[in-house]
Amino acid sequence: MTKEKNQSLDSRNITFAYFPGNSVFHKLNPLSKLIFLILLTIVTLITRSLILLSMILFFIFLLALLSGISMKRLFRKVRFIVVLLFFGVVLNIFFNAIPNEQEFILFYLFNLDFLPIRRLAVYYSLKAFFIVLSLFSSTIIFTNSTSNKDFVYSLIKIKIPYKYCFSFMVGLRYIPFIEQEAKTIALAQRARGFGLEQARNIRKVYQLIFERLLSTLVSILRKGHTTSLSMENRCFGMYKKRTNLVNVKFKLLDIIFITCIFIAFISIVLYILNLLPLSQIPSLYSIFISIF
Amino acid sequence: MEGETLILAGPSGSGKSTIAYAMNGIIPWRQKGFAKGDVKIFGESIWNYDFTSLSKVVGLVKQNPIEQLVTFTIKDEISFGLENLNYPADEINSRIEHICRMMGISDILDRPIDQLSGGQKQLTVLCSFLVMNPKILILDEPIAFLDQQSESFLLNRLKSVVKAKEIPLTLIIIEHRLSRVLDIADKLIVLNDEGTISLQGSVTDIIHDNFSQLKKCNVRVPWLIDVFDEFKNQTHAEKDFQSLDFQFYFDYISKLNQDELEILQKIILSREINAEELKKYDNLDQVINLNETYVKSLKFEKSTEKNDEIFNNDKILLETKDLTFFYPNSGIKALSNISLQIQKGDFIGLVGPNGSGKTTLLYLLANLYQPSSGAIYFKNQLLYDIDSYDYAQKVGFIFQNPENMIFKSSIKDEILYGPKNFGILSRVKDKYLKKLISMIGKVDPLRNPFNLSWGQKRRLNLSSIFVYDPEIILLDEPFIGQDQKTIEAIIETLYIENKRGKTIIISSHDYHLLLKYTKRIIELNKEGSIQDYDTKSNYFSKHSNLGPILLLNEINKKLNEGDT
Repeated sequence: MTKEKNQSLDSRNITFAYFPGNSVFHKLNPLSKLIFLILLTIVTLITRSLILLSMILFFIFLLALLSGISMKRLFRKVRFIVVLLFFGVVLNIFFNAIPNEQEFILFYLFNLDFLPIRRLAVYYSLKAFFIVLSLFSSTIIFTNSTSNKDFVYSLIKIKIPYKYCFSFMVGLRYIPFIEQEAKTIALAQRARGFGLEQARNIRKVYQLIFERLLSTLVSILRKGHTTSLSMENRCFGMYKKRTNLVNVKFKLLDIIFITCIFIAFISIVLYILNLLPLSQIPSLYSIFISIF
Repeated sequence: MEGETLILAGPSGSGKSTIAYAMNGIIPWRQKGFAKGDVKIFGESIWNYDFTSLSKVVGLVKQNPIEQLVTFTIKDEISFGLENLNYPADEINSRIEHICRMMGISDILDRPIDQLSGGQKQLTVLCSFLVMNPKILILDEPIAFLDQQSESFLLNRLKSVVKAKEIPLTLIIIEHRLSRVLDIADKLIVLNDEGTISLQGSVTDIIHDNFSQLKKCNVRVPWLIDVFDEFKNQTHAEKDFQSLDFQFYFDYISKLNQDELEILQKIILSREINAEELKKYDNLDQVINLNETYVKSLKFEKSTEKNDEIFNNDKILLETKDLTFFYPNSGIKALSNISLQIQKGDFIGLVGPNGSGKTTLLYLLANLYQPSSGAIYFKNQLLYDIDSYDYAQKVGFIFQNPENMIFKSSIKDEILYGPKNFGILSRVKDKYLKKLISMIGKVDPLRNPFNLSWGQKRRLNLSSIFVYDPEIILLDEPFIGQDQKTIEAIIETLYIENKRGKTIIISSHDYHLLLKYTKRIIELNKEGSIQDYDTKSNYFSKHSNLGPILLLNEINKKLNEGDT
């Protein structure tokens, strides 16, 4: 029971927490996954085709299933960002991407002259929606399938100074800590009559946040000081080099995976640059134009 | 001396940790200040070392294991120091194997840190230092944050290592609860409030010759020795009582006559079961000749109208029906079907292992959490229907970490934080405010509360809730990291508040204090349901494994045998 409670505090409630598993994606070296994430980000950002972006998003969903993350869990984790993006899309289409270009107006909302819906605005807001959702979902898949330990030790393996890697490690360990501490402090404020319900004006909201931050900061700094002393007490930073018992290896699977994703990446880039003898996927934008 | 085990005891703020820091090099290299004199480690001045090289010689384990753990599994943590020292992998592995075999944790080496109990976490920290072969290891209140089970687990492992003398190690244990560690120590040094040594010598000599002096030193002496020392004074028995072994006292009891057994029974009852020394507070109208400003302040704030209501004990103040709580988003059950009744003027001790839901239950009773199912009633009214702001005024909550409930930059503002939020600032009289400030000690009201000592911060917490005179006081582990004097001050204050009619619920692992001062005990089990819920005397009879009860039962048995 206690064990489960700890897990609940440490991982289940945190979007980017690691979930142990045996999927192919779990078995990959964190660096392979990081390279994949970087290439995916590049492709997502350079493509103009909404069709390609939606295909990438579909591919990411498949990848989530492959890495043992159910659609239900993934949707639960991204629903916050989807709601935000939805508002973004609605808000964006009311703005003019290229001022004074009246021919791009699709129609007027409710037949009102001051509410024109423009094709480019629709295109850009949908593009932003797909990009953010793709990057957010792929990051979730990466963090959910990569243990912090493997990630940090693989960073050490590629010669990133171990002091930075361990700082990062301690930071990761402190996330649930900070969350828990901030919650307790908020409860302590409420217990003495100062909750969100009582913060009725901006000054009160500022006071509430300031007090909460101050107490959390004092507590975390104190804990952080103890942690750093404990590390130094065990001779951390004494030598430039340190032994690493944990060895995160590159396996055959990683080589195959990296080769595949590089081939895919280069192909997509060449295709985007029109350097492949393939007919172009019609962009959603062009579909829009043909319809309207 | 090399290979010795030394206990360093004393009140909070007496400089125990400062001494540890000075031996370990944190002072002067990591904590600046004015220092005079020198510290010599095996004849060598610490100025001849640098911080990290001194760390190889002197290790320091601190109170809270969670703050000291850096990596993700037991093995990673234990190997951390040796990896930093750039030892070859083979040597690291063989050293880890040796230490873990000795400590009995070889089978859980790959277990993630998050899944360990408090005792296992602290043991991991301990091993991570032991594996580096330090010459001196300082343990700064290593059991302060552990529940009873974890505490026994850690101390048993530590004792077996010390007694086996497998590692040539000088051990310095900072602890004011002497009963926990006295049996492995060779020497004892007690500091006083001024930071100077008030008592030092071998454990045997101090207990034999200076026990009464030790009792005055703001440390918690082992209750067994204390009880039998009193017995010795009353009966002029010739035997020496220095052992912490129960069997020794059991054997001794079997040799006592009826009169001696009765004397012993009375001593145990008055020392361990009934808070005899606090009976003086029962009648608050009588003149109390004490330098206790707090008691005086009560007299001046006491209102007769309230007392009439308070001492009507028939009323049920708080009631829970099938109270269940799940952690949000995770679906994990923290509390399961808790049904209990709390009467006005109750003084309840809440016990149970870490993770049994004690804090969650307190949060629910304070209306800080909402139940997943079931209901809480306050004076027969559903808590859900009461304005949370009004109810907050009726409850004073003391959190485990004193700093978590400090928000202001001056002591005065901090005390007035609650009244200001509740809109009752005008009701706090200056004179009463001064009394509440004096409860903390001789402090400037404009001083920053974060700069107070740990014990003073805890007293400030109490002042901050007493100022708005709540009906219910809930305390979550208020004794952690506190010295004996502060613990006594807290429990004394609570006792008086209870006599004034306040309802008090206190969660703690310190069953000795709870057995003595509370009226009822509620015990939660690991599944988050009630294990036991009873009056103190019934709880005693069911839990005969508790030290004083064990002895009392044995004495009763002998007395009954004598009668027949």
